[in-house]
Amino acid sequence: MSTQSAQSILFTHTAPQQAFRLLELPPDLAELLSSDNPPTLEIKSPAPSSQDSNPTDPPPTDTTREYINLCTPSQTYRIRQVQSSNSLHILRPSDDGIQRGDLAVIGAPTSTPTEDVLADMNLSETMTTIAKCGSTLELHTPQEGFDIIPILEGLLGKYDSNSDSNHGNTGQGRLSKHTDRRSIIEGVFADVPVSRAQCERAWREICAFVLPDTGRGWVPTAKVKIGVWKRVIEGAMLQGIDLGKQFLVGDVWKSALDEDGEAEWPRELFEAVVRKVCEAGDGASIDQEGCVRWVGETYLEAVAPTANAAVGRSEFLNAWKDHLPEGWREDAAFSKLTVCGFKLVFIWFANSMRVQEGKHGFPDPTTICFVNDDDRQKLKKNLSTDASASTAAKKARNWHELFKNQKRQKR
Amino acid sequence: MPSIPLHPRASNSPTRVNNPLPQLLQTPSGLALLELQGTINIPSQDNQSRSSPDSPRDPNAAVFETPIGRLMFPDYSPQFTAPDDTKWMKRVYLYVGRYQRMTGEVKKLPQPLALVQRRQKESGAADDGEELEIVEVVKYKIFFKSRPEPVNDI
Repeated sequence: MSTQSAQSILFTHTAPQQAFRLLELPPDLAELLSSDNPPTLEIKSPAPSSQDSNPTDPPPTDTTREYINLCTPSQTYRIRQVQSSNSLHILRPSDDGIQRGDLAVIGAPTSTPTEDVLADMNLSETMTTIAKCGSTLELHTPQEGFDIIPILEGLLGKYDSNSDSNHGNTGQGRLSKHTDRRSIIEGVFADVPVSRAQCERAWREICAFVLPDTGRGWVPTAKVKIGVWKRVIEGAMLQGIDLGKQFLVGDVWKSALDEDGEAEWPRELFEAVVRKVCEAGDGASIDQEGCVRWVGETYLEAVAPTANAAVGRSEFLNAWKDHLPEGWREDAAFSKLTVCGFKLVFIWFANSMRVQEGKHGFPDPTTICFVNDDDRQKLKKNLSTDASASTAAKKARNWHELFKNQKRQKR
Repeated sequence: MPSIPLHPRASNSPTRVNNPLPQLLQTPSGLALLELQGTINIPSQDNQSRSSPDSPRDPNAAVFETPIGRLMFPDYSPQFTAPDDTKWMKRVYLYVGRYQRMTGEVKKLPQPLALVQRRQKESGAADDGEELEIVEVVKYKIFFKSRPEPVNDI
């Protein structure tokens, strides 16, 4: 009889139980963890909207966290807890149980029938359950990505002009006791719930910089960014620096100073802007295509942040060209603007025209304005979900989907 | 929110105990997963006075084990089952008490599961927030999806 000859293992329950969490590993993460020298991961959650909270506020409770992310050095996953009606036990071998079992079985021959049976079964070893989990943690990557730039910007001071920061004397005050650049950045990144690499990319993207004296990080407004950039162009032209080739950041900095050797902006800001348009490294050379797009978009954001402030298209195009090095003027074209942003600018118009039709007539259909990320997302969602959902529903002939869409539109 | 580090390896490896499970289910730390429908009801700690004599307990001991039953891999034999033979995975028994038996199987998890635990701090170490660690990554589970069936005393 196979069951008779097979080995049986005593199964016990250990009290008190231990606390475990089960985390499902997607293939890439499993591979990373099984590598020879796996990195330490981080669990991050957004700061509970503490932009204007003061230190006397009660410490945040878990309920204020909207989500929790798991970050590798370069990647971010959202953690989702999935309940299960099954119970998952974590077992481990136990030698404690063997002795106990032996004691009970050998030392007390007249003890319970169960143990008699176990003794008969030549029970050699024990597995014991040390924890029970009713849920697992799943990792997934949200399709819409991690919208961290607003979070990052919320943690930084808005830099509008030099007097604005005034070296720490503003109402915002010092946020960090550190004056060392590295630890200030560390402090900010700890509150941005994505991986290190994504934090750094966003930091570069928004031209953030640290003024060590103020003890905090700053993000320049579009106006300031375009002002700095304009100065770079002018300075480079005066000094005969070809921005199309490799140049030294120091040279460009010197060229941007005025006659007295004074600068309108701190050098940190200047470097942040140059770093944004450069490909990589300090021996700088500019990524032409990215730079042209960035200049166009930043200029648009600075002068026409909303539909009401829209500027004429040709006017904009000329100004854009004026903000580029001489040789690149012809690169400025509407097709160079962020594809989705560009298209949506016109959709935005279509919408605003519809709204205004009755009252004020049409706004100039040849104007253009900046559509910020939030609105972009909204517009994109409106457009794509409606379209894709209805086509998907048609394809699937799924009545649930079909009606769901109608419901959504009514709301 | 300060970030919480999740260390990819356990800080202290548990003491090695002979692992009675089939080779496939053995992990470096010895930890394994068992899933079953429903729960195992264990008398709670405070009604120890009523605990039956067949669960020997030392009330003074911090940790104690309550026997539940027996695990069996009827088609597995450490000597005769070839490492690439997977037929034995189809049948696992869990006897609970004398008269109940659950039949299950060993399954490969669709995605490996990391067992995460709070990292034990050395006493005296500065308390600078909690740290987690992955104690083990498990790829298989013992799965009992059906209800217990009555069996004769063997």
